[in-house]
Amino acid sequence: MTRRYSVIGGRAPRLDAPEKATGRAVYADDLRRPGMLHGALLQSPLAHAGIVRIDTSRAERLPGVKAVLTAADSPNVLFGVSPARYDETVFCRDKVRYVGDEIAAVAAVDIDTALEAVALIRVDYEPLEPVLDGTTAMEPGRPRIHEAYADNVCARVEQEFGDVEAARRKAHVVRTDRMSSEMRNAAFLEPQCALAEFGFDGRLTLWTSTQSPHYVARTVAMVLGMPEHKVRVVMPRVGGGFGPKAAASSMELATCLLARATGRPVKTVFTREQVFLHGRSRHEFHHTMTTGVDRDGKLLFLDHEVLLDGGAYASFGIATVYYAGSLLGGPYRLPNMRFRGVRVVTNKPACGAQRGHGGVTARALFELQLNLIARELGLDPFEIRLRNVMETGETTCNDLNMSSLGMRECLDVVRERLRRAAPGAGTGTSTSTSTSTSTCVRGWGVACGFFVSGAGYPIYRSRTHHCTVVIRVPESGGGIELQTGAAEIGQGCETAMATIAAETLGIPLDAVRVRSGDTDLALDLGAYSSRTTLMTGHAAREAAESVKRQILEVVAAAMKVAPEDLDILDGVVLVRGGAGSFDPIRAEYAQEHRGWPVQPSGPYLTFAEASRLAFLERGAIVGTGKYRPPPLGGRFKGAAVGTSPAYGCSAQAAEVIVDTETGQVRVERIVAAHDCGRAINMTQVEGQMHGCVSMGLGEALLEEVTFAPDGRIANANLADYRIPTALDMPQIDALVVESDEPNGPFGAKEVGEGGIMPTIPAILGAIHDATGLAVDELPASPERILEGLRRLRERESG
Amino acid sequence: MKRLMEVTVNDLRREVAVEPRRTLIEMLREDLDLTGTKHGCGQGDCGACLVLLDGMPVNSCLVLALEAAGREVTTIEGLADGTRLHPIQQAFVDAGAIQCGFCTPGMVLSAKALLDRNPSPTERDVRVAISGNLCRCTGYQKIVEATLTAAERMRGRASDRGGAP
Amino acid sequence: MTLAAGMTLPRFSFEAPDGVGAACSLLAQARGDARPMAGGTDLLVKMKAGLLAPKVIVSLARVPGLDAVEPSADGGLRIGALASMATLAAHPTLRGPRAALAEGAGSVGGPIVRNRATIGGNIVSARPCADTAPPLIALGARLHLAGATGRRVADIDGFITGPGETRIGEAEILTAFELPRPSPHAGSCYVKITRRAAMEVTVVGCAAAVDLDDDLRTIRSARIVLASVAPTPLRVPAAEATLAGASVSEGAIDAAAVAARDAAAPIDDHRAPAWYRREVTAVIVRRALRAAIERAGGTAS
Repeated sequence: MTRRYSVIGGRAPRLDAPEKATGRAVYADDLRRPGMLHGALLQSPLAHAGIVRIDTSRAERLPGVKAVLTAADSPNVLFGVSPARYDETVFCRDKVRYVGDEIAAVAAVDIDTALEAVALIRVDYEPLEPVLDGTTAMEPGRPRIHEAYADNVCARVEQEFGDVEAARRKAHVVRTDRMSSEMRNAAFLEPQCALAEFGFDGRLTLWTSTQSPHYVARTVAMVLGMPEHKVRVVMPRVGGGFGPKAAASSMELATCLLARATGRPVKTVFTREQVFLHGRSRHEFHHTMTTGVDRDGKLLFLDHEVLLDGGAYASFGIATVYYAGSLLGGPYRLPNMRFRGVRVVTNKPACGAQRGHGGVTARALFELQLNLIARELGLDPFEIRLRNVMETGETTCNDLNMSSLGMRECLDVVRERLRRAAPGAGTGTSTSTSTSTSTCVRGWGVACGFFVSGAGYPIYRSRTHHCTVVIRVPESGGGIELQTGAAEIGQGCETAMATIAAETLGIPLDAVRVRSGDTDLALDLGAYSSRTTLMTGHAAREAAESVKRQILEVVAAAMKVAPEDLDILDGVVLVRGGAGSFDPIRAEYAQEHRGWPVQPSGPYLTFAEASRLAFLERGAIVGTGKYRPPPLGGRFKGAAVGTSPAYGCSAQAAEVIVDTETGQVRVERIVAAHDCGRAINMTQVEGQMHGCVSMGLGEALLEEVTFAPDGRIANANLADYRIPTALDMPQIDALVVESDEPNGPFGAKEVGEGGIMPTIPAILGAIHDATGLAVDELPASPERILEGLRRLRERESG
Repeated sequence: MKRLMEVTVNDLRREVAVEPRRTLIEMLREDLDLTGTKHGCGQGDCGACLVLLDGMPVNSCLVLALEAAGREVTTIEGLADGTRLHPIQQAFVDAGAIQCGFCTPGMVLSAKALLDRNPSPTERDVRVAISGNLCRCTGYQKIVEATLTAAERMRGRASDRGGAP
Repeated sequence: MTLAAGMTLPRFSFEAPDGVGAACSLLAQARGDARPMAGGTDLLVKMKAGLLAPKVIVSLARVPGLDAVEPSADGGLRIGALASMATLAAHPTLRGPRAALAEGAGSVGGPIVRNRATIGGNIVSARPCADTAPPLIALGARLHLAGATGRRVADIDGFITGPGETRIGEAEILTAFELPRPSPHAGSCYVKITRRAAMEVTVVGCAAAVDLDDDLRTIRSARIVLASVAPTPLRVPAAEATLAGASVSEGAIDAAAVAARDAAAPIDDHRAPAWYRREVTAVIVRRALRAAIERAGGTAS
């Protein structure tokens, strides 16, 4: 039976929308503090070089300069994301490893002076040969970038589940295919910005454009050698993150060091070019997959190898390489899987996490390969998927449990929508369009994917709760204030948490005020791995339940009924569904509010009266909640990456038109279905689906970070790094499939990242359907398409 | 050297002393504390700093403050009447057209400039009008829907008042 | 390296004269250290990137009439150098015979940039990808220039001499373009290739302009001008020669396309490889020519 909810599943506007619509929302760069200085960084112009000497004397003498810092006067503490791979220092000590590596920082009275001072710092370099090609970075004789990484290998993974060789012998069709993708940039609209200030009590406050105040606070405390409780990290409104803002950066740390050195607030803001140089976005991937199926198209095995070019530092890369393998464990029954992955370092910006962490190119190749196998077997792309999809309750060969999985439903609703929209689509036969030339061909493609609803384990080894939530009932009664460390980066977690708390407490959404993104409020690991709705949602629910229990205990005592007989619904207290007798409570409330024109009225005791009574009886009413996933996953090395309390899944179909003379591809339509468990807010679920499709479309067709031969980025701007415009985006039909996830709060699970998984392969499938070309390099730019079509013609005629 | 200029910002006449090299966005954000205008790229590539100059959308990062002398500038702060939102802002809120919000001020003003000259745009018109405003969160769909909804609501109000159909 | 691109502008002094003469005098006084500014969409980006640092900026925005678009006495069209791309893209006089110019102007950057970017700036900044240069050359535009010592008229063909380089004098200002009266059966078209649908720098562009004989089956003359395949906008006389006097036919169009492709001398850069630009040149020459002929009322024989 479907439970009916009063707040959950609705289309309430986001709590933060009005302030964002009016320009009142405050982002990091909008902050100003009295006496504030401006920070600027000196970054390496060379991709790989030894530092012979740094002379800061001229910069220090410039009037208005308050501090110049280099490695010589900064903590020599390694930091990064995974403690096992801490490989960064705030400033380069003896060598630079990419164009943009931080060498020094200046704080000055204004930005012009700071930049002028940076230009006055003299660095003598001893140029080293840069390693710019990830595919040859491991070869003997290549320069070593880090002492710690022999052969420039930062991480190597070997996993086997089941028996791939045995399965290979039984296979009816075996195919090997390859796919590579270029480095991407998350291209969030707000460049990173940090403002640090030390109080007279020695406490540091860092306002920063981050996705994880908690991880940043830990890193700042570790690097600056401060007790963790003396570091407060606050995120103002954040203009998008998508992954790269989930790790502490040298810029944030340098800003804190400048604030400590000067005793004054310091603000540093990235230019758009610096956003690109800092990177930490999607890796460059090189995949090879050999997949075998039986006569019926049932998957028997996957033998998968991948090389990741990770750039200069580890960042999130250890998790990335594991995800590249583990995220193929589902959503199809795949009994045998072997995965060999290696992540190399090169002299390019470090790569890290980006929406669909590690799994996007892997998913693109695997889904495209499924189409190619289907074609060999004479099956349509829907059919081969339907024959293999897992069902709720199944566990993948790499020990990921699908506690709910609406994969089949997603495929069904997409196919149904497609039947109505474009009869004959998805049948694997390309059709010429009726447009003026016969050079444009139309095709459809379909693909699936799944993703975690929160990583099963934190990035540092700990039994830590992944989040806590505190709900305080103001002494006046009426509303509640929900305090969370969760990171509102635009995905809407404040509204989601408010919705969960309102539903739990039985009060309207507008009675909930949320404070978030501040390490002083509560603990939260942050906005990554699509964890917030499920994990922080549990904590919010628990805190709200606690508050509700406390209030109802007091009311029950006053009304002389059992607490179990009471409930709160739509802002009023029900006694076994009725009003109960509450005259004394109302009388006391009225007495306290003598002369107030507005008084509680109506046949039921209001939440305002009930919660006021709770305060009068007990003092402050505070409820707390927490969440930590149960132990998850197998015992093999790397088993932690990919584990999650729940998995979202999605299917998408794309319609494209390929101009076979120019190689240009236009996506005409996307039909997207996503199983998000129970939708907490339907509008926001659709918004996440749209955003996923948009980034996926960009990565499929438009986006690549390109490099000059010396290792500089050739397109570090938003004109030449092309994210989709409104004219590139097609109509998206977003179909929400609601399973009821047993491990999620109110049945909810992820939608923020899983929705990107099918987009690239759906588009590639459509290109294949239209032209016969199986794209093997991303993005599928016009020149790659044209080149591919030429090779295809040559093969066919030869 | 700084020069004194007069400019009308959100219907208010202001006197500001600026260096010639000050861009309009710097003047708005730093001299007038109108931080609703966002700095996304500084090169006219993203539209986050869009303001209306005599009603026309411009990237304020590529306009010198002195060029605005004697002219009218509308920023996102100039649309709402206190806490009463402009119909376009209200439509953005209602439709879920706002996620991270960083592109929103520019988007809303782009939509306003469009609806000021074309009260009945097609979906294509809207997409063309906002094609200089990048958004990484929404895929633009709810922004387009919000703009069309706002147009409809504003037409409704205009005809209620007996204005042009 | 100071990574300050997009952050602040270098120092300069700013003048906004209200006459062309005053503007030219200011430029002359600065002896090469001044830059005239129209929309600023190119100049300010270059200055932020540290590529240019003029001591004086002479804004032309307050010179009356510089943005006017009006018919000239002999049936031609006079376009003020400060006419914006947005104005030109929507201008009613730029249809049919002159459609290429509206299409070129309408494809520059995005809609916000087009409100500020001017046709004069597009020509004087002389980027190889400038979208209004090929149409202006194809339509036989003449340039009106004013200097401290007087005014002159120049042919646009040959005016641009290299990336960022033109034959404009140090203290000269480009004030207007003059398009000749089109012949009775003329048509033009501008087609460009980009990866993204908007906000794009042109990968390859082609303007085609044709004059047909009264029979509407014979091409009297044609002009083919390419963008982004050479250091300057590239007019292709070889392609034009194959078309002059030819019957309207796919064969003639193909011959011109092949000639244009052979003439193209593109480079590899981060926007596209040279081979792609060359190959697609032939495609867009065909498409631009077909559309131009159709607009001229032509029919295949």
